[in-house]
Amino acid sequence: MEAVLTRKRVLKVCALLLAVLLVLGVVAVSVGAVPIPLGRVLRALVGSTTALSVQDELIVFSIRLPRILLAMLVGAALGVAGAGYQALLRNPLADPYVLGVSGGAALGAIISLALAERVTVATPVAAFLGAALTIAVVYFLGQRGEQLSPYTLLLAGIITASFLSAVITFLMNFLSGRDLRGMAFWLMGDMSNPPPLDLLFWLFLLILGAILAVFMLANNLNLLLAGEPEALQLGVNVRRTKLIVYLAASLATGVAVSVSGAIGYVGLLVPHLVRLLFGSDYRLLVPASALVGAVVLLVADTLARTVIAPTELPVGAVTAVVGAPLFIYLLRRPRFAAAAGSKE
Amino acid sequence: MNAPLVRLEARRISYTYPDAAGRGEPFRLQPLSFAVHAGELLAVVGPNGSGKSTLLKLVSGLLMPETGAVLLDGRPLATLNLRARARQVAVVQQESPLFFPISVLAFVLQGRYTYLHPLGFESEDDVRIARQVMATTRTGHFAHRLVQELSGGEKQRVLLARALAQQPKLLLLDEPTLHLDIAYQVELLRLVRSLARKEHYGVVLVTHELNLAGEFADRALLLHQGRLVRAGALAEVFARELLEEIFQTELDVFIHPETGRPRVVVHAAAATETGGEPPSKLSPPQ
Repeated sequence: MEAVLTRKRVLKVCALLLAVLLVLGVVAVSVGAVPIPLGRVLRALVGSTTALSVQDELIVFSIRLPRILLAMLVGAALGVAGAGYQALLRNPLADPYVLGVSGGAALGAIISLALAERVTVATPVAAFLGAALTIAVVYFLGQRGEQLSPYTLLLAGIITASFLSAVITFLMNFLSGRDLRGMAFWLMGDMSNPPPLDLLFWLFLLILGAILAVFMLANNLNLLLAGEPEALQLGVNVRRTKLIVYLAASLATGVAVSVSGAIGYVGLLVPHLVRLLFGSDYRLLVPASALVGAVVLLVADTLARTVIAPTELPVGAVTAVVGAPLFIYLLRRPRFAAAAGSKE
Repeated sequence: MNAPLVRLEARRISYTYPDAAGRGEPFRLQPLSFAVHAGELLAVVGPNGSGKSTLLKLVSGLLMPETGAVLLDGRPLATLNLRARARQVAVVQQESPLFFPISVLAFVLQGRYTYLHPLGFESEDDVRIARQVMATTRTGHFAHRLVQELSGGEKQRVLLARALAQQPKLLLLDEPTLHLDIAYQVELLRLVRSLARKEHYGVVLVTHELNLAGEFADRALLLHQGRLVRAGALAEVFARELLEEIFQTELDVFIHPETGRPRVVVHAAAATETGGEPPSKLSPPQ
């Protein structure tokens, strides 16, 4: 394999992933507590009005399709947010959930729901602010002298996450009379109540914007991974790059959390899966993380609603079962340990 | 031949660090001037804490001088944007640790960033230039290995290759031999010097290894406590009494009768009494 990445390869990989996503999306519509044959789902999706019974049509278009689109959207957002934070913090273990960013976003969303429940747009905005504020605090706590220590940063994130989940638990009990969705929703993530399609479309635009912003800086992020002074010497505007990625990754996380709760480990798992499959160049990593993120969360959510159907699991439980062991594996890998332990 | 181009000119540059938590006086680099010509290798020597690294940061644009100006090929450094600067000056320095896997070829191609469109991909030209500098630095045969897996000597050559891929006019080397065996030290500096001659780079070599500076430099600057103590020909800078005073140890300086190159020998007995050579920079992690 030639190590030099070309535009052609990026397009090829993205087209392939998009095809996989579409196929899995159609399959996911057909499976569930009430199975609907694949052929009929396909015909209904391309516009046939006679393929489905009235009841099945309701299931497909009002229940499953919004949920599947939501899973794809949130997966893409979290995958890119993870890739963005990993470059920003130069830490392969960075993930919005592990670092407490999702918790911060969830807290922001809960506060906005408690104060201004009617204002739909307030929730994602407050979640974005919560995410941005949390990562700023974690960044500050993770610094030792002028250096960002990888382990200190992770510890700061994990402690922040546990503190935030305690605050959320407290608030939820305090506000128990109000319908702010369940505690499990905010702490574990859940897709069973997707927003209506028109709201979903606006969220799609926001998340697309965040993904594009990170993608536009892919070359800069590649160099940032080699170290900040090095990137500066090689011609990268480090400060501007970091600011934009910080805002974009926090926006993606905030929007995702405001509609699906704090789903863990997708931001960690997805970029690493992409690195394993396609290499670590951010020009491919960013779009591929969006698409693989969509695939991963779609699969996870489909499992969450089918393995013990008709009972549903929170989707965060599914991602944590896979993600937590992966986190431990990455933490113990000699390359990370050696790099983190040597001169800082 | 015409008079060689002035690659780098520092005009009375100085710098004062912001006060570090009220601990004594902040370090100040006193105003100093010097020039580096095309094809020339200038060594900057001095004990630890003498201001060598600060000087290098001023010249590379990481720090802005408090007074004075740095000119690259006659143009003020301060007027160049980051990309233009990276085409003019390349730095080989002690690397930050790498947490993400990257192949040697991809690493060297980072030197081409400054020539890329923001969202662009490396052209065939970029790859050809990368291959060329990898051949020069003898890193081509492990192009597809990961940088993390390389030995110290291999990694240092890869760092040099990335700097050369920038096609700079001025090459700055910050302690490039720190982790290298003596054979690799000589090999690397021999390569740098021959490149300087052939490609007309100006080279600034910051090092605490007096003998390597003496062996490879054309001229030298000697810094001490933020002051330029002496600048010029090796024989002038490598004066025994001056070095003894600055390094606080007894030593001898031998000048090779044919090459005129100095060699410093520290008196072993005296060295152990006074602490000898400046302590290694390889301090254990805190």
